[in-house]
Amino acid sequence: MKYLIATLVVVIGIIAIGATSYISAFNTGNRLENQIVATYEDNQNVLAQYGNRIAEAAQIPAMQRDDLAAVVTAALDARYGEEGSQAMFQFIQEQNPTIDSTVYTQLQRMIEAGRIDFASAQTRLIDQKRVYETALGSFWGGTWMRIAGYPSIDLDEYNIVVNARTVEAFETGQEEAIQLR
Amino acid sequence: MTLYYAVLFIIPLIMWIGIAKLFLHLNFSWGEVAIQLAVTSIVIFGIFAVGSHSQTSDHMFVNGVVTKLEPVKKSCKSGWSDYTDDFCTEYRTRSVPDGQTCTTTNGKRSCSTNYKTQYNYIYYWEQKYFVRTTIQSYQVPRVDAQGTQTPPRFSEIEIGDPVTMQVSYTNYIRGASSSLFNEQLPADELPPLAYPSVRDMYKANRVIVSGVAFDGNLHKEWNDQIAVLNSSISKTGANVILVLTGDDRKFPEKLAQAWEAHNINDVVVTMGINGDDVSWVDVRSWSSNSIVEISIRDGILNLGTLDNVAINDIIQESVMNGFELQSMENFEYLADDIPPPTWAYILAIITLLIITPIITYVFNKYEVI
Repeated sequence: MKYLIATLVVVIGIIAIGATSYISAFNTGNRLENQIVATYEDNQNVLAQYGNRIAEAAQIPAMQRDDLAAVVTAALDARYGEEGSQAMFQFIQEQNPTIDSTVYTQLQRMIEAGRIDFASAQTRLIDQKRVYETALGSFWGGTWMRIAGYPSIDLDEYNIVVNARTVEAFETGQEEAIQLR
Repeated sequence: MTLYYAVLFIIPLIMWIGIAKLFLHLNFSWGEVAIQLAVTSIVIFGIFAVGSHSQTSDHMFVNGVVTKLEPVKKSCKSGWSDYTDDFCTEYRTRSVPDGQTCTTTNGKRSCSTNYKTQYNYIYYWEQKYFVRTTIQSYQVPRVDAQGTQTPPRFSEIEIGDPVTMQVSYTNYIRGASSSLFNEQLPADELPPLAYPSVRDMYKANRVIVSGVAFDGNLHKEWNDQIAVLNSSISKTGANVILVLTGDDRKFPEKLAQAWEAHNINDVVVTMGINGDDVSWVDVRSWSSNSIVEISIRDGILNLGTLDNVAINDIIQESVMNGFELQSMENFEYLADDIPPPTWAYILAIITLLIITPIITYVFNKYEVI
């Protein structure tokens, strides 16, 4: 009888630890995945907001704002790098030739701030993926997370925006000098 | 994460109790098994909870202004009383008999007298000097026991004076050393600069000079001005710290690591100076909008000289227009990336290897329940 009780206590203890580990792993996986998805969407939001802010600051007519948003997005998401900034300023000057130097300076600051904010948002996404992958790779917690069905999202779908020149530089191990003109 | 690490340590605990009960046939009841499991689990969980808190607990400056100067005068109890007053502090004490405690040993009864402390206030009234502010109240120490004379420190305070205090908050970035938001520089490269702290009730030196000669009077004056600036921008939640250095442009990065990535509301403006000229400017904050950093940097660089009044104006305008206090919730994900400190592991191991066997021994030898 004593052995039966002893075995029961040990089994209940093991089940309790297993259940605690499972629930903890499930909640951790759920929380981290939702954060990654939310941050990914927030990155898109950061890009969109800057288009609007710059259009307002540059006093661009309402009809041309969608066109500007596309140019701003291209400049901010680093797809065109410095050339993107030049294209944006050219577009702004075409739409608003009377733009004064104060507004122009303010726009330059907004673009730089936008780049920093976007870079920071992208770093947060990378950091969240790092934390999630570290959790998945840990011995105890990671095992229970896999048992709980994580990862349930494809992490490759939540990558940061990288320009083609950077991808090429990493693939070839060589970087060409930037052509400003 | 606390639960995760606690569970890892509870597994060997269960194994040990199982071995002790089933294979070593130690003599303790199932009630004692339950107590042992519960007590040790709570202790281990507590160790990791305290360890986690110590990793993320931080203090940030909150700024405000003096709103009211309030001397408060209250009457004190007269005669001897069993209780102390919640306001008056100056009293005499005495011990008076308060019944007896009697015990019977080997059929012999013996009694001893109990005593209690009574209080008699010296003055009919006492006066205290309070400074009410937008962040909290302060009490200026009295210069005489009763408080009849107004303390000089109280007299010099004016309504509208800047005040600051440090409040505790959870800083996930501080605890997550592996985070991409933390610098990864060797410890011996970090500048030995202490983060500002509160002095003289509600003041703090937030103009810091490192490795360069600087006029002492201007330093003090600028500190006072930054205190006023910080109270002026208090509604944004920001806290401005100025650092003047003769070091190179890598200094701000080193300082950021030395100060554990800065507080969530700090705007740290570092200026490389050469005489009266500003060579470079670096502005770091966790503001949701980086325009505040760019505006301050460009404004000071355009100015070019160490004009404290003009620099203060640039900072104030930029913070008021651009600073957006970021929520620490954005970094809560880092809580899953903060391992417990080494001392927590050591304490947990000590608990398992020493305290648990001792409890087992006691339960084996004595019948507790």
